[in-house]
Order: sequence, then C-alpha cells, then structure tokens
Amino acid sequence: MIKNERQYRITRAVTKGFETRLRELDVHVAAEEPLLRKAQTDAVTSQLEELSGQLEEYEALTSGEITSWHFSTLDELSDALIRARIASGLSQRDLAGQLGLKEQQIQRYEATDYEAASLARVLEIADTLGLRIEGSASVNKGKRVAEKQFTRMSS
Amino acid sequence: MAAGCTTIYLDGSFITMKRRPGDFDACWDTSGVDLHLLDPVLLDFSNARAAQKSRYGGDFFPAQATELSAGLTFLEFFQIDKDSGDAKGIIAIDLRDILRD
Repeated sequence: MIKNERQYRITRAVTKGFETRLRELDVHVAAEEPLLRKAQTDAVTSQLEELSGQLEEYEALTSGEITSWHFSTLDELSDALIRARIASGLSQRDLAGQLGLKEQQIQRYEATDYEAASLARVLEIADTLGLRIEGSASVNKGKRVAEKQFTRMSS
Repeated sequence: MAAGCTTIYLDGSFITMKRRPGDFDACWDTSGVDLHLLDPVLLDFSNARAAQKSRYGGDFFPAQATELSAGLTFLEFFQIDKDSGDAKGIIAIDLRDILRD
C-alpha cells in the first residue's frame, strides 16, 4: 500500500523501470528459451498490475474519489486507518502533530500494521481522523459445541 | 534444487521489523535451471501469484538471467527500500549449502 507522496514517487519510478524491462524482454530474450521468456514476461506483467493497483488506490484516495471502504477482518483495520489519513489529506507528520506524537511514531505504526498500538490509541486515531467504523462480529458455534463435549468426556 | 537452481534471494515482511510477518518474496536464480522440472505453480503469476502464495506462503520471481541493457530487474527491485528509495539488503540463500547438510 502506498502511504505518502514519497512512496508514490518511488512506485511510479519503479513502474517505469519494469515497463522498460518488459519492452527489453520482448526484444532481447533468446527465442530458444520460450519457457524462460514467458516466465520473465509474466512475472513482470504481474508485478506491474500490482503496482498500478497501488498507484490507482492512492490517486483515488488523495483525489477524494474514495471515501469509504470495506474490510472483513480486524487485521485490515490498519489499512483502513492509513487510508483514512490519506483521504483526509493529512501527512504522517500532521497526524502526529494533532495527537501530540512524534512523526516517527505514526510512521512506525503504519509500517507495522499498527501491531504495537494499544486499542485506546487506535480508537483515538480513528476519532481524530473522523473515521466511522461499523461492523459485525460472530462466534464460531461449532467451536463452542466441541469444547462442551470435551468437558463432558473428561469429568 | 532438483531443477538446478543454486540460489534464492529473500525479501518481504520476514526481513522487516514486523512482529508477525505475513509473507515473503523470493527471487530465484534462473541460471542452469531446467524450467520443465519446476513445480508449474512457480511459473504461474496470475492473480498476483495466488497459486504460489497458497502453496508456499510467498511469491517467487525469476531473477535476472540475461544481461539486458535497460529496465528494472526483480533483484534490483527487492533491494530498493519502498519507503525511502534508498538501497536496502535482502538475504541470499545458497541452496547448495542446504543440500550438503
């Protein structure tokens, strides 16, 4: 995921590099190794698709084209927070300033999928960003039934 | 290894500061490799390498085998820090060492 302007520029540069490589593969790779050539071409094409997806998402967030998104597991909450920051036009430094934190702290949170942030911190950030989160939760019925059976067997 | 691959290069979240790394990216040296002996999944890059992720937990990209005059190679790509644009390290694993043990 692209999180700031610098990463955006780097991703654009890398994309150009791969596009050049794709053209070179077309021209230069030996015709007697079709399987290798296909593997290299497919690999670069696949990577280019992924990079262009990242570029498009960042462009859509910064332009205000996207203002809401879905996620299905709590693991993806981190991405939602980052997207909210980008969509709100705040840099990592801006957000840090609003929270009374160092820019490095926000960078660290975003680089590690918020894994070290407390729940209180996450809620504070969501609140600061005006991020509204709705969702649903459910337990796995099958799991509970299995535990009950085990207790019965062992007593 | 059975197909003749001698070296792979490892990148991805296993070599970052994440506590729970999720995946890896690997680059395999194509020199001397008989592609026909490879698991076909390693040559399937469709859907963002979904088949590779499912079977092996990561992505495998062919490393530079031919000398091309221009364009970015995967090995170069892996050694760019996507955050700063600076050069960064990856891990090279000599598969022949593993075979010897």
